Amino acid sequence: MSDQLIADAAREVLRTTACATVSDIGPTEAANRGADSVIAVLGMVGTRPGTLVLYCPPTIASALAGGMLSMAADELDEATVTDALGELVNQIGGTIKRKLAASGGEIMLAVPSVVRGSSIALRVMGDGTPLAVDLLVDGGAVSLRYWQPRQARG
Amino acid sequence: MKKVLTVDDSKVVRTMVTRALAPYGCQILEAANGKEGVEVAQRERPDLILLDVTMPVMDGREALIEIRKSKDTQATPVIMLTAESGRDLVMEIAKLGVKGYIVKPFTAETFAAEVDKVLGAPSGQPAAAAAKANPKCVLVVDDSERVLEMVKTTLAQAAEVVTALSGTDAIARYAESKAGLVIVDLVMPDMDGFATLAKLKAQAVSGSRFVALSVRGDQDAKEKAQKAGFVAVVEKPIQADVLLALIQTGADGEDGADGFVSEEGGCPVLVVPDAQAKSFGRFLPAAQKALRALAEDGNDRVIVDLAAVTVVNTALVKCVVEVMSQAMGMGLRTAVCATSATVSALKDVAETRDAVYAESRQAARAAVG
Repeated sequence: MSDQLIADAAREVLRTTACATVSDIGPTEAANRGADSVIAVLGMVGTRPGTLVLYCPPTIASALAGGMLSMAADELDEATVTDALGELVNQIGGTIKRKLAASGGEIMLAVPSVVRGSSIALRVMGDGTPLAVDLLVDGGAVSLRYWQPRQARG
Repeated sequence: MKKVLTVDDSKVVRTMVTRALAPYGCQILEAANGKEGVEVAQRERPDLILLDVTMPVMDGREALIEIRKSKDTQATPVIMLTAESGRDLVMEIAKLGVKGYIVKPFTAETFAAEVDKVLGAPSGQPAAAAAKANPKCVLVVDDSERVLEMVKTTLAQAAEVVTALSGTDAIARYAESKAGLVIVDLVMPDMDGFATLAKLKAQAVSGSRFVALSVRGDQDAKEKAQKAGFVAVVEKPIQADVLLALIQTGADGEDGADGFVSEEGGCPVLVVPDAQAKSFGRFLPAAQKALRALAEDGNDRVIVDLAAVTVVNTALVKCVVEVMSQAMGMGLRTAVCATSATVSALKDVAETRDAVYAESRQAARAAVG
């Protein structure tokens, strides 16, 4: 597992499923994102267990959902946007799984969960520093983090 | 009217599927998990089930087992539509009997290729589907009369040129001309190039190719155009030699060669044609079918042979990425065999940077074990 692999998977999914424009972004720019977030969480078990988290500003989450459904972002309700983010993190996890399979890694995906709001603190069952990917998606900063238990690294 | 059941815990995915199926004119049934899916399938007897794997309550594997147990649904065609993949899963699913396997994220072309196998050509247009495009005819769609005139003059000796000043006009002109090459400006009032493409594709005949016209340097528009299904993007101001090259590529027509799959010391090989070869357009659908067959036959590796490739362009990169992704999705270990120049060019592209490369088939075979 590497941040490059996560970034590749995220680019592929965001471009193909959400018709988003995606480019790389520096960590400084990513850190400037607002406090409000839609956060999609996906558990992964198997030979490379961990937790994948997608952080997205609400405006970008709506834009991504709109891209998936070919609808204007302001036409979508909160439940649809939440559902869309869950699907995107699920597809990113699935793409990571597919790419890992090439090197013999076998993982299974859990059902994703999504929360939204401001001042959210997310505690992940992992330790240390997660793999970090920050992307500029449709003009906004989107972040992915992948936490692995210490024994699964290497 | 045919019935299609989409089983997915994401309402967004069910909506995406419903939209993708619109051209087929069928009734859409929905279920949010495997249990609901089995119930709806037994009650409604759909003509096709699109089934996700990871769902709450009852997952897709269990649902498929239940569907196959019931005499009412045991023969119902099922296509898996899922982010889940992997060799073991594909093998297990294959044993239960499915018509196809669409891995998310999927393109409109991938979706249509699988669904067509069960529902046939979309829109209830058998005549249109059977019709062939006129390779000598070029339809140019642009709201600028100056651009239309320029293209008409440039191609006067090489093709029969039909023009349209709007997307609406283009639909009528295409129905009349069955143009083999359709060049569409992306930015037009009323109906933009993307909406025009969608309408044209709904009535497209076999052999038509759609090319986008975009302002020079607009990378976002280029990416979106390629995702939308344009086979190429031509930048404005238009260069005459670019237009003539497009005509020449189409004039080569199709050949009957079926030589995309080969073998190297017991290891299957996918032979990728050059992006400018006449067979290139047929390669990807054939490769997808071949990869699925390889996985279902118990293979766990494949060599992707790019030895015939002379130019690494966007179309080739997209093709390689799609093949690698599909192969990995099927649990096949892959190695790419290519010349050093091709390898160097592919390593400059993020999506193909980390592939396993070798300069001969033998070395590629050793690399995949």
